[in-house]
Amino acid sequence: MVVTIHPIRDKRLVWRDIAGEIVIADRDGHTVRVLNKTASLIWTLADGTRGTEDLVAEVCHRFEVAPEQARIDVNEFCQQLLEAGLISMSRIPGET
Amino acid sequence: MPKTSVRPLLHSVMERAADHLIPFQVSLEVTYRCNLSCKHCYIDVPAGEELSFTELKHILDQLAEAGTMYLMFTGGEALLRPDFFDIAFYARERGFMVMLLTNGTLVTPGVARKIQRLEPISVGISLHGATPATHDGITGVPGSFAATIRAVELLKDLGVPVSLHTLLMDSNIQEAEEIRSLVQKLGVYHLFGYEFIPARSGSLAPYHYEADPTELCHFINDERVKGGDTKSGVNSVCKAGRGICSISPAGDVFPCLLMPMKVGNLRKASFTEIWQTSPIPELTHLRSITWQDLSGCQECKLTEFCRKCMGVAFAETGKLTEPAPNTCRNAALKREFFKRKEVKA
Repeated sequence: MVVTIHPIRDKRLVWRDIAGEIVIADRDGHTVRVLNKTASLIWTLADGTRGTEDLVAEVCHRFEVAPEQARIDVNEFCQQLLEAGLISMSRIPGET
Repeated sequence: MPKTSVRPLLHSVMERAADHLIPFQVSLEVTYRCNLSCKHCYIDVPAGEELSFTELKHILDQLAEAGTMYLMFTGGEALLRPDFFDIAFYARERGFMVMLLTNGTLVTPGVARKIQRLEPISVGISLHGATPATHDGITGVPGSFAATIRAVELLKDLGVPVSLHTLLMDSNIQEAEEIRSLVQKLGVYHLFGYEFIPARSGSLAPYHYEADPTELCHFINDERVKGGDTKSGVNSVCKAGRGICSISPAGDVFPCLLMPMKVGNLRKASFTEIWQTSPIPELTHLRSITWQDLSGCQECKLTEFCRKCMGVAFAETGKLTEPAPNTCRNAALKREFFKRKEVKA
């Protein structure tokens, strides 16, 4: 059985869209993280209502990449964000 | 997707924001009223009618929309506003990283807990001396030293990031070592400064209180002195009017806190109109200035020691591209220090 994972941004983090790139401030406010355009799209969509396959579809649509490549990108990026403590994952939409 | 897609890069983000005219860092002066009368204070202009909480909420909404991430509350004394925490908590709600500049004298245990809940990334407090006589002598208010120290202790105990700042001047430079010992005991971050700024009206009155250059020389090359530890000359224009902005208590918009060049008023126009769609010619001119336009600075031998500021230049001379005499003096002082240091070495 395939389990759908729903990435959810940490709601306490401050972030802005600076000319198409997402900038996320660390909690101490003294450093920021900057996401590239693909990562920025994934971050923007990671509100907990979409599963990773929805994100893959969106990346394919916006950047015209093959689903296999988009899947690798989405999974890799979500893993990075998870390790950085910026998102959590839920099996149920909208729940952390 | 490269693994470098997540990277800490505040400086380049600010550059990028400035390039796109996004006011990434905004200073919000919520009042010019103050309960102290510091003799070197640069605010010598009337505030006008202060923006109401409702008006400020609308402005904060606009700033969030415009991409502002860092918001610094300052004054006057910001905590004098009875609705300060309404404003500040609304700012947090709108997703700003908040900083607060205060003299600390109004920080009671209850106020300290509210500040803690606000989760500011820093609370900057001015410390003018190591003793009540010196500190209160500068603020003009007896008891202010004790109140400021109490604020530092209260905030530190609650884990609030406090940053103390001391402007070295004629009446406190003799106490610099004692100030160092005091802040060490307090256990908070501290920085000395030595560069005065003109008053908002362009008056140079604050400069009357500058420390003696000979005495200052002992302190300039110190990592705890702002801009003092290296030559660190400036050879590019700043982000004023592009990625940095300042708003006065009555809603006047300025390119930065140090540049008294009004570019609009938020009661009369939206932030987007003032900043992006219909900037006044003066703002457009500021944004067009490059390092090559600073004619007086091009061939200057002090460049590598100079912390050139167009805001100070404008306040002192009325012109953005002119050298500011006081900045030139400070650069000469710094060069003198480095010369002496090299001779000794």
